[in-house]
Amino acid sequence: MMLPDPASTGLARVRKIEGSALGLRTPAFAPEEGAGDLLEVSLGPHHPSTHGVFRMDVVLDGERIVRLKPVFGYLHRNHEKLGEGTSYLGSMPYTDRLDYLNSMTNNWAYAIAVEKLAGIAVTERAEYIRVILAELSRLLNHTCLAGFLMQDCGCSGTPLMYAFREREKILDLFESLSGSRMMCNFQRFGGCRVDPSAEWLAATRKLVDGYGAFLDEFEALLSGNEIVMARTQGVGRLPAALAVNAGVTGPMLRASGVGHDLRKVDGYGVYPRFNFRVPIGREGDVYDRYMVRMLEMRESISILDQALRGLPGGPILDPKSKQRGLRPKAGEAYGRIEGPKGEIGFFLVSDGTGNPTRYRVRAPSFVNLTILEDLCLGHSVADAVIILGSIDIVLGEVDR
Amino acid sequence: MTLLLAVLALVCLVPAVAAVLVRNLIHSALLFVLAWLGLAVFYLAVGAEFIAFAHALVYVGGVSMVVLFAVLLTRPGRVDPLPPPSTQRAIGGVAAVALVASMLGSSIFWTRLPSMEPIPMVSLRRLGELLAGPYLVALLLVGLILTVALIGGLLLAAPRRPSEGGDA
Amino acid sequence: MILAAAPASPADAWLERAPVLLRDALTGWLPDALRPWVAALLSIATILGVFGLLFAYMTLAERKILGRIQNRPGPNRTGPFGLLQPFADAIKALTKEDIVPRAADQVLHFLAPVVLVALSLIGLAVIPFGRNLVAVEMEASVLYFFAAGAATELAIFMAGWASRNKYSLLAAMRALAQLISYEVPLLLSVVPVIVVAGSLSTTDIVAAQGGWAAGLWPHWHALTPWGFSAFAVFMVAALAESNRSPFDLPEAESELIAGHLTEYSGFKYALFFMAEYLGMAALSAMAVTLFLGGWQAPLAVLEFIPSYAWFGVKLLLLLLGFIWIRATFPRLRIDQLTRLSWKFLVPLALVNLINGGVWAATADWTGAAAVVRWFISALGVVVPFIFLARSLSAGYGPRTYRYASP
Repeated sequence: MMLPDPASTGLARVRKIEGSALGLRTPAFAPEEGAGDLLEVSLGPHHPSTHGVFRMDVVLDGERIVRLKPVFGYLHRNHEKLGEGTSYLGSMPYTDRLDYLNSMTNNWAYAIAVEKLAGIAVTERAEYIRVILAELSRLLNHTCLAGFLMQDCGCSGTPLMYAFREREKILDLFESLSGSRMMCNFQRFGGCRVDPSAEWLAATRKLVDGYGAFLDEFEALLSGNEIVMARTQGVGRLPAALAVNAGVTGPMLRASGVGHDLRKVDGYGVYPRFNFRVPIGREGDVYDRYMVRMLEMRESISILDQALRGLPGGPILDPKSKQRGLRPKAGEAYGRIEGPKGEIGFFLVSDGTGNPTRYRVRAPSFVNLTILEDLCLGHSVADAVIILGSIDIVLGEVDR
Repeated sequence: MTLLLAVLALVCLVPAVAAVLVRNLIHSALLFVLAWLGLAVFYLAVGAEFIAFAHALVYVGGVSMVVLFAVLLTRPGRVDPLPPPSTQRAIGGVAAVALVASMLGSSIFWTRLPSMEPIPMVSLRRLGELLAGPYLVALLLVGLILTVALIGGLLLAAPRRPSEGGDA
Repeated sequence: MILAAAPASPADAWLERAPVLLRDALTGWLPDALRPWVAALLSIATILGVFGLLFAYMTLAERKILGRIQNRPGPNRTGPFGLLQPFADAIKALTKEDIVPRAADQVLHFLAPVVLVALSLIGLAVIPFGRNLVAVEMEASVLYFFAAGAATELAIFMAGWASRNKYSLLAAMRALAQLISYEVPLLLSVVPVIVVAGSLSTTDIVAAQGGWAAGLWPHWHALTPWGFSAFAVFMVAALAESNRSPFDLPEAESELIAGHLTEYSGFKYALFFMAEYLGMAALSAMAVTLFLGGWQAPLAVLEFIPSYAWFGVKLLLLLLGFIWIRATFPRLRIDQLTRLSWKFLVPLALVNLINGGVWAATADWTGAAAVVRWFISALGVVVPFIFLARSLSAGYGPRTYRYASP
């Protein structure tokens, strides 16, 4: 853990930005002296590079950004309120739709929250399966992100297609296990829904063994490319202090040099049994964010290798455990895990009935997005696009 | 030939006059480009191939861009001045007409038109040899003057306060 | 077209003379006064037809090759191997509604694609596509070519400005900045060729590249040190001139939606693409003419293949290079683009100018002196390249990463 000194951080600044991000308080804006004609451009909500229905209200001096207001909520679906009107199990498939690239980790975080609330123990085999699926999900997410980031840099689809080829392989695994490619609805309280067959495990083993070669190829083509380095190095620097104060988590935080990984900090599940490292960046720019994810994938492969080798037998779910009609004692619980995008957490308050009275999601995409303006000011439109790409957002999770 | 020259003159003059008259600056810049193009075709028509292409390359390809850039980057004045009084406008009009008339008149009346014999064509190679030989000093001087003008323009246009980053 | 009466054997081959014979057969029965006019019309129709088809199949080839590079099949539904795809695309483009924004400058919005296509086409008039196959013979044809191409970005500016769309306006500004930056290295890289060949005429420049050193090494300009450097600068600038990746900033899809094309639809949109491919083909044809020996065969024994076929092969290879580059590179930022031009390509081309001059002045060196001549020329390319490239990539580089202590 390498947290910066809290005294040196500007909390007030963060608050101001969050206000503007939500469109509640737009800071009074006056063009600086000597600036040329300013041009206000609305990038989005239908723009090829806003990764969904997201809008950036940008004020440009030439091509330099002097103000940026992130506007979102186009995909708001009342997720949290729905959770309060739905049974505990009924919310599980809804969590798939948050970050629809990573339904496996969303499921897990929600399951942990309910297990804490109701005091349910998880079987050992299920813990291993959860780790396997979460790391596969991380591979999938980071691979897609690298592809999209390169697309934002202006590649004509080639890295994206390479990335999607690998993504398909992982999605095939998810489909054969859970019946759905993206909306897996796989975890249950105390375990998971389906026991993976030996064939599935063999297929996973094959994928894991081949993934390193794909990463080698991808990195050989892109990580050292002059144009990629020129476009991403020194762009969108996120200082560690700001990152910590804004609550940024996940690879974004680690790229800024803060070695905070819940798999190490909380040690949830069976992660303490595995041997892996947490890569951290130095500059906190787009290139670091990209590289930290590439290195994290290598660690994920190592975790997967260990988990597949150490996978114990036994049940995947305690047969006595109750899924439907779950009525936890009154109380509250917060379950969190290290999702591919950062800390994904669910806060549940129970009053003893079948539905939670409060259901709250801590969405990493949403929190990470709040510092967008800080990263973009002074850069050009072209940079804003790749900065947004390097933050790694999914609007389903931002807007909920 | 005379008909061709007349058409070319129209092609040059109409856009030139229109460029002065239209209110939209971008339009007038583009009309200027048309006038320059007409001039290039005129050179071509009288057999000066090299000058014609050089003219098109430099004016249509280069100068027009700079003019458009300047128009786009110049902020329109905040205050719209009242139209000048009619006497002032009259004086301005008379002065402009007198200036154009004297220039045209001097070039028409004072130029001794040579005989109608065709002028010997100068080959491109010969032109190059002339420019690099007897007229080398003149060529270099013109280049020097243009460079000085360019640097002067840069000095005038450069912001007092050095801006941080960004080339364009 | 000019009929040359070269007695050399390859020029007499029937296939070699086929286009000229065909033209004479078609115009032979006409009265003498009409014949040159009809011949000129025929050349124009041929160029339009050949390059129109080339454009159609370039789009298909680009999509197929991009598909291959990206592990996907590309268009394969229309006709065998998708060979009818360009025609399906044309029908689609023609039948689509042509939408003009109400706020747009109607006249300029209409003129922009028309001007662009016209300007992209007229440059082709002076390209010698083969022995005796040049539509217009001129003393200053190289200058004509660049004068014709210089105004293409003006049309892009017109499109961007007339659309009254903010993305289009940004694209228009980028197009202007790009043009001002890349016209200079493009022209500078051509100057040494003119100095060495001693002519501004494309036919003379091709003729100057004829023959082989030691019967093997063609006298193409690209195969000399100064010529290679000029060729490289020319191709990079040509990429930028034709707005192709990695210099496709005016239409940067991930930043400006479609840039100057945002407010265009239907056939006008297709015209922009036509202009892009025609411009690319014209610049590649010029590169073949200036640096790759034009229609000359690479080896004396291969001269039985007609000259226009060699020209076509070289042209297609360069176009393939354009497509390949598009599939591989990310896009530069506008300030990096201008920096690349002014701090790298322009100085390189200026040094190369001297290099070419030295090469021309030492044309009579033979034997051991020729080796010295090659060495000097190579030095004049490598040394400035190393110095300039170092300053260009200063501050960027691969990084090493730490791991958090457990």
